[in-house]
Amino acid sequence: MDDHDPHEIHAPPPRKSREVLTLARRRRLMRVMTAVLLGCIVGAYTLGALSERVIAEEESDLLPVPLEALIIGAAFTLASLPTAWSIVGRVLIPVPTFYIYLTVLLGKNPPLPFYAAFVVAGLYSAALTALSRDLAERPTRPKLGSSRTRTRRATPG
Amino acid sequence: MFLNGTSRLSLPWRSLWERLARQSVRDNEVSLIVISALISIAIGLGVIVLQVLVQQLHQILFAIAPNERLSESTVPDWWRVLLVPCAGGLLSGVATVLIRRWRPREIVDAIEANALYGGKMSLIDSANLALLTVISSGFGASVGLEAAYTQLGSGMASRFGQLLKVRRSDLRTLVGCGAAAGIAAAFNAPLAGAFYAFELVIGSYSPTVLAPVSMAALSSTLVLRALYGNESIFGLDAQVHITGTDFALFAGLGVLAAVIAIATMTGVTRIERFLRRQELPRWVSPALGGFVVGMIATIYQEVLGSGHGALQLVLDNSLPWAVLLGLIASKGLASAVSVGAGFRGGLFSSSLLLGAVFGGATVAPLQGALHLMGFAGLELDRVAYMLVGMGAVAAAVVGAPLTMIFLVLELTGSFPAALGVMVGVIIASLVVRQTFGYSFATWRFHVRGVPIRGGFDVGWIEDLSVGTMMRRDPPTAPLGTTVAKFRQRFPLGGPNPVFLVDGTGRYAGIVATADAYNPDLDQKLDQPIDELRTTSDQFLLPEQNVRTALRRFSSSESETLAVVSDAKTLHVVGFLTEGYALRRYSQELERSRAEELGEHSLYGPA
Repeated sequence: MDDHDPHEIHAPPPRKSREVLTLARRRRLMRVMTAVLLGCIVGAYTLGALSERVIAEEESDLLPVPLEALIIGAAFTLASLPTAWSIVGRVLIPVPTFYIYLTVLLGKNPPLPFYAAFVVAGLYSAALTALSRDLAERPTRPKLGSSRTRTRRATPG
Repeated sequence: MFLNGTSRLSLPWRSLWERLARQSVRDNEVSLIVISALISIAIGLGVIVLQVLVQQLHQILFAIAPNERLSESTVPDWWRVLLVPCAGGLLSGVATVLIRRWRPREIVDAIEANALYGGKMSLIDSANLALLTVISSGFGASVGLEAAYTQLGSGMASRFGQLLKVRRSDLRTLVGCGAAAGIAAAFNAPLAGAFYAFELVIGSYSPTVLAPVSMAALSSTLVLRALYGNESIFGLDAQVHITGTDFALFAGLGVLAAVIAIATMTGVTRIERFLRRQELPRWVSPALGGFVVGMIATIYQEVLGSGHGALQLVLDNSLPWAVLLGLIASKGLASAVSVGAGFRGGLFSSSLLLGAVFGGATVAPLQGALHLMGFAGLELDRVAYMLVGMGAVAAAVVGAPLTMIFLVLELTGSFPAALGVMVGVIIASLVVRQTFGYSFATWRFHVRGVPIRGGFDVGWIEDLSVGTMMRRDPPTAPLGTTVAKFRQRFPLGGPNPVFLVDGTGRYAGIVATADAYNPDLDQKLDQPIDELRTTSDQFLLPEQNVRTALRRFSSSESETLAVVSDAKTLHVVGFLTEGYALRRYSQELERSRAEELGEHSLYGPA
């Protein structure tokens, strides 16, 4: 005998299909790999930039040059990961990046004037921070029915 | 053009000229060779003009010495490095918007023209693209001029061929000749130019195209050597030494080169997407890209321009490993940003520099690894690795492996170096083909939604549309027609099949005439014929091509399909049989094959 109450609604928990889960996992993996790849590029770029310095005064580093480049690259990777705690990486980027690129721009041949080096180093620092934020927080495409798609649909025209 | 003047001639003279022009060009292989040589002289001169223009722009805008190349020189003023590319981006962006208003169509390049349009290109569009590329490279964007050379060369050749009304296959060959002449003159390398045309623009090598393409490449190179000297993009002072172990390492280098090439190609698309997401005005993107290139150049000036000067610089000097690593990152980034932001130009030159730097950067770690493994006596030749890296990355990006092998052979004159490059190039090309599947040019087509993978002629499939093949006298009967009336109107041996339409003229299915004469129906003559209809939901559209039509025949398992005006009104305008579509397809396939081999088609005149 069926003892189910006919008025009771038995809603099964929402289940995502295997394809959807696989796609989501693949997309997440791609974003992590992008973050790692870009971190390597930032690290290599910084290492090369630090090696371009020829003026001895500007080579008074706190840490060995490869370690500095590694830290910047790792911080960028961390800041670009699509996770809530990527903000930790983003906190680490601005000041060291600014300082490192300031020494690069003042120590290369020919050196930039201080005001120009200051501005360009600031731009480097801001660009890396903004890019990492974009990579971490931007969904690849808005989910169906999400606030982004609803807003877009509601917009006239 | 002097040929346009023929329209002013009186009819007999005009007729005589056209006959002479057609007969001498269309039926004579030698005349095609002569024409290709003549056009290539003009293309060689065009290449020199573009090179001089860009060099002048570099001297004026960056204040470099007349005998220096931008990417190897030290620009005296920091603000020039930072701001000139940005200004170039602004100029390029505004020029692009203005040109788009004037000519809104997408510019057709040599590969697309040969694949889809039977070699037809616009000379004005080509000149516009060359102008935009000169602005881009002249203002320091990290792009090469090769795109301008090939576009202008093939555009000139195509225009000339169209004026002479040459056959489709000859026009495609002339477009290849133009591209070959452009590349040959750009690098002072006729073999590389010719193989560039075979591999990329024509899509195949056959005896009929060998002579005109080779002649074109040779002519433009001779013009360049006569007027500009025997200089190439780089020179080598010492011999290259390669041992057996090196070949194994070159294979590994090829794999890594493929990774760099794929990262650069996809990087361009990612940057394009990023900028599109910002919803900036179209003319702003190149300026923004120019500013980023300027910022990179404040540290790495080698990224400015095509990079030919920097190529010589890295080959001549043993730069520290860290600097080479930084150069790989900066050049890859600058090139991707330049192209992705909307500067015009290609990645040919950029990939050469990127590859050479990459090859150089691998030497120190490999040497270290060999020492650790006990091969302490084995010294790796830095230049050999640079050449292999250069060829491998460029072959993977450009999608022309033989071109790169011949380019290295012609530029270095070193057979051992060419052999080493061959290993790296083959592995890199293989990895890119297996994992990514595109060269930079075909990747751009893919992103644009253009379904071509090279210069092979697939345009005839598009031209062979249902509209051109269908019969335009479809026998129709209204829905509800009785069997008796149907038999009266369509006797056995008459029209077959018959297409049913409803009261509003919409397509409603097919009835085979023979089915209406089934003896079982003799007692049901008042019954409507509708029950006999089939494929009421299967039809063709006039604009669909033969390939789509054949697929539809296969899926519907029907030998005849109705052709309707459009999917909304479903008004029957004709019909097509599978047999006829297959016959036309095989005819065109045979004609295309015969044209490629320079033979007479089975279906053409003997």
